[in-house]
This record gives sequence, C-alpha cells and structure tokens, in this order.
Amino acid sequence: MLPAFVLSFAFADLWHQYLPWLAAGIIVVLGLLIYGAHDLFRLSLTRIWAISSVCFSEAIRKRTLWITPLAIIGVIVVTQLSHPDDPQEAIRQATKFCLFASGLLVSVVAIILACTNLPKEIDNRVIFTVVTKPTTRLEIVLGKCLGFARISATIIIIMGIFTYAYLQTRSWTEMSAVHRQLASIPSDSPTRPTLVYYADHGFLTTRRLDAPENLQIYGRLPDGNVRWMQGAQSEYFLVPFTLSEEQKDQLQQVADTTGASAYLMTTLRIQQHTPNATEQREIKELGLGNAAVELKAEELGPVLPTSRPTTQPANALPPAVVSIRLLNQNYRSLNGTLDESAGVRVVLQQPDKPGDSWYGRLTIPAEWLNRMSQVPMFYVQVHAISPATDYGVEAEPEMIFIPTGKQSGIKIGPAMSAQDPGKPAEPELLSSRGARGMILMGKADGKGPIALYHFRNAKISRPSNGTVPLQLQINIEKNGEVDVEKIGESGYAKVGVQVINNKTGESSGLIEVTPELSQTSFLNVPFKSVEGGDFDVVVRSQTQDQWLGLKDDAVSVVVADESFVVNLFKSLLVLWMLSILVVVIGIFCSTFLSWPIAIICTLVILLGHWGVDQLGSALDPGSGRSIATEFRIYDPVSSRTISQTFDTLSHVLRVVSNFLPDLSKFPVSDYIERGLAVPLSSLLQSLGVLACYGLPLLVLSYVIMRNKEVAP
Amino acid sequence: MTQSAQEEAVRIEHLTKIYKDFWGRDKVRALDDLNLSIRRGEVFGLLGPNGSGKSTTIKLMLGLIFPTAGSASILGHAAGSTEVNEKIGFLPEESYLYRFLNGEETLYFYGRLFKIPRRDLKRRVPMLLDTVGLNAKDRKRKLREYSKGMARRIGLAQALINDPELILLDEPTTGLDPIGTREMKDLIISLKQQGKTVLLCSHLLADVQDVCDRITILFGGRMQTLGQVRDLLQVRDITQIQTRGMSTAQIEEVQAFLSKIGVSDTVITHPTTTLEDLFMRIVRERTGNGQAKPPVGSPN
Ligand SMILES: Nc1ncnc2c1ncn2[C@@H]1O[C@H](COP(=O)(O)OP(=O)(O)OP(=O)(O)O)[C@@H](O)[C@H]1O
Ligand SMILES: [Mg+2]
Repeated sequence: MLPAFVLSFAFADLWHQYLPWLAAGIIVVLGLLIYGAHDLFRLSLTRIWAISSVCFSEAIRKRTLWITPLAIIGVIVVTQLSHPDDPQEAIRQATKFCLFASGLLVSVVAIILACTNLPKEIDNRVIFTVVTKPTTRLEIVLGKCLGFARISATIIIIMGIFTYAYLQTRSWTEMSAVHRQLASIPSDSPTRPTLVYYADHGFLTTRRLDAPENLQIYGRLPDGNVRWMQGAQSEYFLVPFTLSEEQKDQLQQVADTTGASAYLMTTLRIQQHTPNATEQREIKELGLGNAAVELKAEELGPVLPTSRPTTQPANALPPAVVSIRLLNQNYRSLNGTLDESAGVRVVLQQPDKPGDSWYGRLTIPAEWLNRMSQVPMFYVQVHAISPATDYGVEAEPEMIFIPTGKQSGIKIGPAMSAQDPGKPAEPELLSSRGARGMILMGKADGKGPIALYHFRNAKISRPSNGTVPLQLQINIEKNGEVDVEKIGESGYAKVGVQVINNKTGESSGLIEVTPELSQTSFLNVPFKSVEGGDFDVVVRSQTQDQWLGLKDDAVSVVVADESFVVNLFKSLLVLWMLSILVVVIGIFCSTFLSWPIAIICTLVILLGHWGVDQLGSALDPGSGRSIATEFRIYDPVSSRTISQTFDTLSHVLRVVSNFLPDLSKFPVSDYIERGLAVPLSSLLQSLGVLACYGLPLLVLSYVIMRNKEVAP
Repeated sequence: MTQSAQEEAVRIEHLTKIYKDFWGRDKVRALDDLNLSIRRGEVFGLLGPNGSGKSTTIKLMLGLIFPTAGSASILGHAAGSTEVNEKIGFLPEESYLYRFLNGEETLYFYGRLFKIPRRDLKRRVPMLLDTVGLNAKDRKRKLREYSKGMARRIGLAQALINDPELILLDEPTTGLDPIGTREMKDLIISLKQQGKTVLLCSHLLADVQDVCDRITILFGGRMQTLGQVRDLLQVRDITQIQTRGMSTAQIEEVQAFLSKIGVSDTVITHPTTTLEDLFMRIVRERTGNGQAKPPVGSPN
C-alpha cells in the first residue's frame, strides 16, 4: 500500500503543474463558449464600461480613496521611525514600506469592495433595475470587475507617484551621506567599491543581473577530472539514484532474505598531509586518533572505540573516513533521523598500489533497502570527515552492489545526467547548510575550501570603463567565539574573490572584500575576466574559523542598468494584476455567499497556498511517522494508523493547495527593493496565474449569477 | 382564447412560484397556476391584497426570479431574456436606484445600458425629466436626497428611457401627491394612446378603474377574476331599475308588486357599485370571514 501511495504522489506532483490550467481551460470552454455563447456573442463594451463607471463613481463618492493619504502618512511615519544602518538599507526599507503599504491598501480595498458590492446591490434591490435592462449577467460580472480594477489602478497610480517622489527625496539625502563618507574613508578601504558604485549609479537604479548557473563547494581548484573536497570542513557530495522497478525488487528481495546483503561501494582519491596542531585537535575530537588500527573496513553508526590506549604518534595520519546518509528528493534524510550529523561512518581502504583510488564498503541496512525501493529517487550523501585529508571525487564515486555468486553480482549505478542522458549524473559537491546558506569554513590565508560560482553565457556588453560590477550578498555564518554582529562593523571578516575566465584563462587576481551582514556590496572586476560570459567566481573565507553563509545567488554579475521608473511601473503592474485576482476571487465568493463569509472565503483562497507552503516539510510524506514517534506511540498498529492518517491528510492539503493561486508568483517588491529589474518572465508568470485563476472564476461567477434569483 | 403572438404582449401559462427556505423546503406558495394573456395596446390591471403575489408575478415576468412551474413569455420571448429587456420598462415597487448618482446621471447610466447613443441621450434625458416633472435643480441632486415622490418620478423616467413597448408599473402612484397621481394616470392614458401595453399593479382601485381596460384580481396566489372592468362591475343576476323622482308611496307600490310576482329580497337603493365593492367582495369571500355572501351593492 505504501509504495502505491508514494508512486501516486510522484505522479500527482507532475500533474499538479498542469492540472489548474486544465481545469481552467475546461471551465472556460464549457462555461463561456458553450453555456454562455449567446451572452458572449452580444457582449457590449459600452454596457461593461457603464457598469464599471458606476462602481468607480460609487467608490469615489463614498470617499473610499480617502484611505490612500492615510496609507501615505503611515509609510512616512514608519520610515521615519526606523533607523537603518546605512543609506542603501534606508532606501531598500523605504521602497519595501511603500510597496507593502500600496499592496496592503489595494488588497484590502479590493477585497472589501468586491465582496460587498453584489450582495449589497441584491439586498437593496438596485440590481432589479440593472438586470431588467438588456444587460447580460456576463456583462454585469465583467463590468464590476473592470470597475474595481479601475479603482485599484487609481490607488496604485496615486501610491506609485507618492513612492517615486518619496524615494527620490530619500535618495538625495542619502546620496549626500555617501559623498561625505567617501571623502572620509581611506582609499584602500574594503567598503569603498560599494560606495563608489552607489556614487556612480545612484540609489534608485535598477540592475539587471545574470545569476550563476550553479554553486559548488570544492576543497581547492579542480585539477583534471578530479574535484577535491577537504575533510572536516562540512563538505559533502551528492549522488542521485533513480532505480528501475526491477532494481527496486532486487533490493527488496535482499532486504527480505536473511543472510543476503547488498553493499554501497565508495571509490575516492585520497591525499593526506601531516596534521598540524589544529587538525590534530580535530582528529582527537572526532575520535579518529587511535582509530586507524581499530576500525574495520565497515562500521555501523558513530561507534568509535576509545578503550584501547593509543600508541600512535600525535601527528600520525588519520584514517580516511566518510559518513554516508540517504536523502529524499527534497534533501531530507531518508534513514529515519532528522539529525544532520548522524550518518553511517565508513573507513576507506588504502589501495594496494599507491596512486589508485581508495574504496569503502558499506553493508546496506535492511531499513535502507526498504526505503530505497519505496521512493521515486534518492541521493547518497557522502560527508568528508577526516581532517588533514583531501577527498578526490571522480565520475562514479558511489555504486550499489548485490553479490550473486563468488565473483559475480549486480551493479546499480547512479541516475543518468539530465543534460547528457548518455552519462551518469555528475556528483554535486556541496557543504552543509547553516542559517544563512551553504557554509564555507575559513582557514588562514584562504587555505580553506572554496565556493565556485559557475557562470555560463552571461550576456555582458563591453563597458566603457573596462570594468564590470559584481554584486555580492555574502553572509557571515559564524566566527569562532567572536560576536557576528561585531565583525561586520569592524571590517574584520575578509573574503577573497577571484574571477577566472574559463575561455581565456584570464584572472582578476585575488580581491579582498569585507561583507557586511545581510547586505549587498559591489566589486568592480576587469572586463577581460568575464568576457565571453563563461567564467567562474571563486569565493573563499580568508580568516581562520570564519564561516561564510553562501546562497546560490550570492554572487551575480550586473549586466545592465535600467530606469527606476520603468521598474517601479513594472512592480506596480504586478501589484495591479494581483489586485485584479483579488477582485475576481472576491466577486466569485460574493455571488453565492453573504459578504462577511465572502471576505473570509476570499482570504482563505488567497492565502491557502502560502499557508500550506509555510507548513513546508511538515507535510512531506513520511513525516507522519515522525509524528507518531514524537508522541511516543510505539504500538505498531496505532503508530501506522496515525502516520498514514497524517500522510493522507497532508497529501490532501497539498493537493488542495495546488489548486489555489500561489501569491509568491506576484513579486511586487521582491525585485525592486533589491534594486533588481523585474524580469519579463516574472511579469508573464503573474499574468499566467491571473489568467489561470481569474478567467475560470469569472466564468463561474457568470454561471452562478445566471442561475441565481437576484431578488433577496 | 387563441390569439396570435402578434396581438399578445404577455402570455403566462400555469405560472407557479413556491419560495423555498435555505434547506429547500417549501415556505410560501406565492403564485399558484396563473394563466394570463395580455393583449398589445391594452392597460392591464393586476389587483390583489397585500401578499397576494402581484410583485411575484412581475418579478417572474422580468426573470428576476425563476418559476417553480409554468412559463411566462413576453413579446414573444422567454421572460428575462435580453430581447425582452430591450423592449420593456419596469418601475419597481420602490425606487431601487443608485443613491450616489444624481437624476441626470441615473438616466444616462440606464440609457447606456440600452446602448442609446450619447447624442440621442442628450435630447431624451431632459425630455423625460420634463415628462416626469423633475425640475432643473432636482436633476443635479443626488438620489439619496430625493423625497419619496421625486424618487418615484426618476424611477418612472428610468423605466421609459428606452421608449418601451411594454411597461410594468408596480404600484406607480404610491408616494405621489394628488397632482402626481393625476399626472401618472394621464401618462398611462397617453402611453396607451401611443399604442403601448401597460401592466399596472395598484391598490388604489379608483386609479385602476379609471385607466385599465381589463383587470385581474389575485388572492393567495390564485387568479380570482379576470375581465373587462365594465363587465366585471356589471352584476348579471341583479336587475337594476333606474328612474328619477319616485315617491315613497310609489316605491312601496312597486315593492308590493314585485313580491306579488314572486321576487323577494328586494333592495331599492341608489347605484354605488364600484371596483372597490368587487374587490372587497372577492377578498371577503375567499377569506370566508363571517359574512358568507354579502349583498351586492352596499345598502348605503
Ligand atoms: N423572497 C421571498 N421569500 C419568501 N417569500 C416571499 C418572498 N417574496 C415574497 N414572498 C411571499 O410571497 C407572497 C407574495 O408576495 P408579493 O410580494 O408577490 O405580494 P404583493 O401582491 O406584491 O403584495 P404587496 O401588495 O404587499 O406588494 C407573500 O406571502 C410574500 O410573503
Ligand atoms: Mg408588491
């Protein structure tokens, strides 16, 4: 039963993408083209406009727009009360407040107007004189919609003009602060490039960025086909597996047969150096110090012997240990525990010939075999554990092996690559996630691991001054015992950035910058290092024990500047589309509900998707099991009942939420507040969501209205 | 009773309306198997006590509510269709208009729903406002400031904006002053002269008697009587002898003669039979409240 359930879930996932569109299409075709063909045919813009104008006059004459100045006063008060650290942050906050206030205002007005209008007109019977004219119900629904869309457009225009004027004045005052600061700091200050960038471009700019294709964490720059990880630096690699039904059966069979085993084979290159003092301490802490002799070829669990007295010298090489876990497609642990550090440790065996790969063999526990044969795909996650050890990853580092005879067996390799189906997928080299992104641990002089942001086909036009700005959003995750807040201020944290052109080999050389907490900084790099658009940006932490937090898009290249007004307009356009969606949902609900319930219903429809997203991984399949464990229900029957009930419930919730509009597809202030151009694709995406939900809801409202007795 | 659709403005067949409650249970049988046909060009009166189903009939004819059974066809089309709405005017029992618009804007709005060109509206709107008697100052005032009579007038103007063929008036004279009432009656007569069909609901029986060609009286959702006003008021089994200047002695002699020839239960009085009498009689009969069969023609 469980596998079928999981399978249906996987299928459902695929379907969910297109199901809303399919449903929308069917509703529109049936409702409008077939049921409402006659009314569609005699649709009159004059009538729609007349009806919308009445809605509009109503809002104006009932002084609905008077809350706009209130919102403006609210924004001014809030921005005056907040004390941002620096000019850039001040502008960012002001933009955010303005757009947030506009969005809130428009949504509230739209919800209230749209939900109350129809019930009110039916209640006071004004609708009598409208529907007894040659208006179709379709024209009434569309007219109301248009009317409210016009009202929200008016509010948005007023708020837009205010936003622009307000931000312009803010940016003038902040710019003088930047000029003062530039005059006072030394010329080699790491904060200078960012200030120069703002002095050159102004605050109200709109950058178009090119994002990196991917981010990998390496132990050092790759040589040849081998990519390296440093041990004890939180680094790991991921290998995806997609098993065929046959392979799943084979694994299940092994699990079901006593005495049979399957192995996970690890093949890595290992380079070790004599541990320095820090590394010696780490080896001790990890319990690897006297383990070299002790550990067998495979060892389950973090069981490390401490009993036997050591005869090892302190600077002996540690065993090459990896820690292995299974992850599901959402990168959540599959083998029961959610604890990140837990994994099964495997000691790699030295090869007979020096220079060959080392290998490790793990007997796959029955529990794992069960999980492997149930999920659509899984990752094998391999952490590099041992200090003073570099792990070299080649094409197929992980392999499942089921022995069938003395010399023979079944080999199961990783999933095929998405880009090149002929080849197995390349392992991804990453590091553990902290609160602020992927962790990049620092060592003195930048000897620690490196983050490699790989850019491909970035479209950078030749700049006039020979340099191209990089935008950095590097966070400091942790710095030993030092307070994180202080580092940012003192300029203590140093980050090395180097750009290497993959085509020409041209390098920018190492540039040191000082990231500030959760802030955008800029760095000019020579055009030559990025020319052609195929380049790597290498980021490293230059200080011992200083951890950086790196997001996937922490480094991007500024390819063009756009007009702020245009970008503001685009953001407001997104907001307008959102408000139209709100209006349509409101009208839809009000066709069959009384207005207070219609308002609640509208809110539920609007926020449902977001709400389920907030619950997040709590609704992942399999979390029912952890609920049962959490409540200490060990009785297998009731535990299974609970976990299955929960899983079914969360599945239903997810499916339902998939039919609700996703408001995150309306990025009103997401881009503009970060100074980024709202991409056309994002506008189209908003329009898509609006069409996918707006059109069918309009048609449904029409169908309901046509079958509704409008007399109270 | 077979009339071609050409002559027939309204045809109602077996029209029944049962109001249901939230759970779909029957609540009120507001209209029960009504059959009715209104000819083109006539003024038809729909009478009945409160709650007898008059407004329900009109709402059904307009498609504001849907019949439980039966059908209504108006000017050859199904009730509520836009083809019908193009050619009718409707004055609801109270003025249900947008209260934040002024008189003129109201007419422009409804005019635009008929897609009447702005040029024509510029001519038509002031003319209509004149017809219903709203002066220049009142036209620019918001409807929420209107008195009841003024609201009634703008409501009437709105019903006439499209020069309709069939006009449904639900209690048109409520709220109007005596002059307004007179004007309303004159207007209905002039509409009739223009060849329009008028359906009139009213309690003011005198008005109905004055202007209607035919009437029907509803009670409890059922039609009680239907016919020419003149015929309905003529009472068949009662013979009335009208003379002038009979003395009391002569009257006694006539009475004696009548009883001799076997006619009893004679009332000799001055003729005062009105629509009101008819109305009262029907209502009393159906209510069955005591006076089983009140004498025709009240004894004054
Ligand atoms: N929406 C409704 N729900 C339930 N019952 C209703 C509804 N509308 C009308 N009724 C009932 O239907 C019956 C007929 O009502 P209708 O309004 O047609 O009467 P009417 O003849 O117009 O009365 P009046 O002279 O008072 O205007 C009444 O009993 C009334 O209570
Ligand atoms: Mg009535």
